[in-house]
Amino acid sequence: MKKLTFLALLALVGMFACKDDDNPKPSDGVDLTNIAYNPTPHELVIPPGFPSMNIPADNPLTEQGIDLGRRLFYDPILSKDSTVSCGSCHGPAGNFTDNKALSPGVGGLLGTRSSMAIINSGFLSKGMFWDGRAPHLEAQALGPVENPVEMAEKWDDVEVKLRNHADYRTRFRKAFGIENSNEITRDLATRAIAQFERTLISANSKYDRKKYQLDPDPFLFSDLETDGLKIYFDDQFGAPGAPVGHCAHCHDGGPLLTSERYENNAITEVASLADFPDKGLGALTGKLTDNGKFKAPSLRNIALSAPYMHDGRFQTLEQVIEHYSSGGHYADNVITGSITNLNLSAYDKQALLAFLNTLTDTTFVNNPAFQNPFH
Amino acid sequence: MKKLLLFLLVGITVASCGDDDMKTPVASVHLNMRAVYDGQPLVMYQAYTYPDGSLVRFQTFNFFISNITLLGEGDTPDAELSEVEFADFSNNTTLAEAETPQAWHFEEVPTGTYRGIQLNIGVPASLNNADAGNLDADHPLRQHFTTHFWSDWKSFIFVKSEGIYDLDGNGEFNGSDQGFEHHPGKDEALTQVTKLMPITLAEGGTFDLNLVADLLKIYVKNGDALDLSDPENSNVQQASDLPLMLYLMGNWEQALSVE
Ligand code: HEC
Ligand code: HEC
Repeated sequence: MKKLTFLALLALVGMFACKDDDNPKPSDGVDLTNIAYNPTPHELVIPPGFPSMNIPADNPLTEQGIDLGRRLFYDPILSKDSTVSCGSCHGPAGNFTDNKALSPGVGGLLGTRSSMAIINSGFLSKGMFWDGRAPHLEAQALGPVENPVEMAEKWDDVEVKLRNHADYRTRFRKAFGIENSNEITRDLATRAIAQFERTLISANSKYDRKKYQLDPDPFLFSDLETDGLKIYFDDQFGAPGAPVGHCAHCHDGGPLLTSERYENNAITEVASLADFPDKGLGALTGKLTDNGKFKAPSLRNIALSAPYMHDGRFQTLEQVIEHYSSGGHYADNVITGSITNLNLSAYDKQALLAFLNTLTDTTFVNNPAFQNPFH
Repeated sequence: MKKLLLFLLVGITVASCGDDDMKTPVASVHLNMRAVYDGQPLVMYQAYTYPDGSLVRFQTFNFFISNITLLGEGDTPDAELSEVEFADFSNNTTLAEAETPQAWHFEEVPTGTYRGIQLNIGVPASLNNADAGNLDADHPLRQHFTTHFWSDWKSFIFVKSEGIYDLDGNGEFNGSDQGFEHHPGKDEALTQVTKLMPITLAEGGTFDLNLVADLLKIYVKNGDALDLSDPENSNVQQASDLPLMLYLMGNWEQALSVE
């Protein structure tokens, strides 16, 4: 019996010895299994009139995932010198833009395009960026980190920084159930960011109250705003000589206010289709007739996200309206059925502007759940 | 599609109750569609001659087809191939692209003798509302919700035909020419098209159904072409444009043919 106990003990010690050899060194990551993994599903409230949101099956929304995503979104840890976060170029006050024509990245370097609003982006299905090159939010979030004029960092290094960060280790565990800090990857980080972005839903402008919440107040819209709406939607019921703006042909999509069309809206004067300084969609597809085409973005909260267009060339909405009224610069790929000299009167322009201002939803930009958690 | 599934389900149930050898025999139908202008492959951004002798050019041509159904003959019941599909020729900017048909493959179509195909141009009334935006991500009406749902009318745009007409007749296009944007779409504009032809589906076989959509023919009624020089005819988007909308939609029976 004694012999047996001794042998058993010996075997046990041997086992431990072996186990000891296998023990992870600090660089092998930190075991996280003692932290509870119990994610809470997040129920998205889809407002009336909205289409369904395209949520990938492998990235369901959870409170823990959204919270992690919000932190990553606002944390300059994703940039090379810890100076730039996603939020630097996509701040809530500016409708998740930075209100600059071109956005300074690490070291103050400027890119060639203006920051885009992130608003109801989870509902979009025809590509991210001005040229639609990223298929969805997860793929989009990979880009800025390694972009030399944005965050100028390597994802390999970001992964190391996050793995060495005790708070993030816990948060990745709670959001995704990883068992070891080494399982923190760019894939999970971008999934978390995408979860946060999918919660950025805006549905509470005056326009929403009129059209989708069916507010019974007959005076909710002024006459000026109503006339602007009619110009925007070409809704003139045949009144002779009534102004039409054709705006909704590219900026409708129901409450999303983007038709997700990639078009040349005639802002750039070129001798030929080959001459666009930024070829936009054409650089992607290689088709000459796609040159100068950019995404027609959502006009929701547009009053808050000046300056305008992919290069931020227009400072004010008045300038934008002036552009559309004139019809801009003809090129062979402009849809001249919509983009043409509209002959808008001074009153029409005022009305259109008044309507665009009804698209402002301040409850969205002030929503506490969307603000920088480090402030 | 739903009907077809039901049919199959019933078929399978029946088969499993009875004789083990009894299975609903099925075949494949490949629906192929090309777009042309006056019989020529429709290449976007390429100039064509309009019946009045002026040049015309297109940059968008797409439409919904719905309730695509094979019409049964004799004992063969009708078979619905699909509830809604989206046909889009707007990216055909080369001849090779224009000559390549858009194809839909319908597998497991009950065998039998059919006398033709019937389909609607447009979106059926039951689906023609904002709720269609809640369909599955890969449903054509969800996929094209943002581009084709016209919220002011609470209707999908059934057909988009966009282009430019050489108004000044100088043989090239410029900013003073007449752009047009024809976007019909309203329940009353849903148009049924029927093409009668013998279709025999044998078990395990594949039947190729080749359709051709001639864009010019949408603009011609009884030999008269729509006057594209008239700015009144340049857009279909106001309630007052209903007559023009019905004119354009009413020409689809002749615009669609089987080859
Ligand atoms: C230096 C400024 C800058 C930083 C930092 C930045 N962005 Fe952007 N963002 C832009 C610009 C500029 C564009 C448009 C770029 C283009 O079209 O090529 C853009 C586009 C986007 C879009 C596309 C929106 C749409 O509707 O298509 C999303 C989403 C987005 N950014 C999210 C992020 C996230 C997430 C991060 C952090 C990982 C981030 N951005 C960091 C400037 C920035
Ligand atoms: C044929 C499609 C089309 C039509 C019609 C159209 N737009 Fe646009 N719109 C675009 C495109 C494309 C862009 C982005 C262009 C770019 O940045 O190069 C844009 C950009 C804008 C922007 C700037 C958005 C931003 O975030 O910077 C505003 C504002 C705007 N449009 C308002 C209007 C108004 C008002 C009308 C009607 C008078 C209108 N649009 C009609 C396609 C269109």
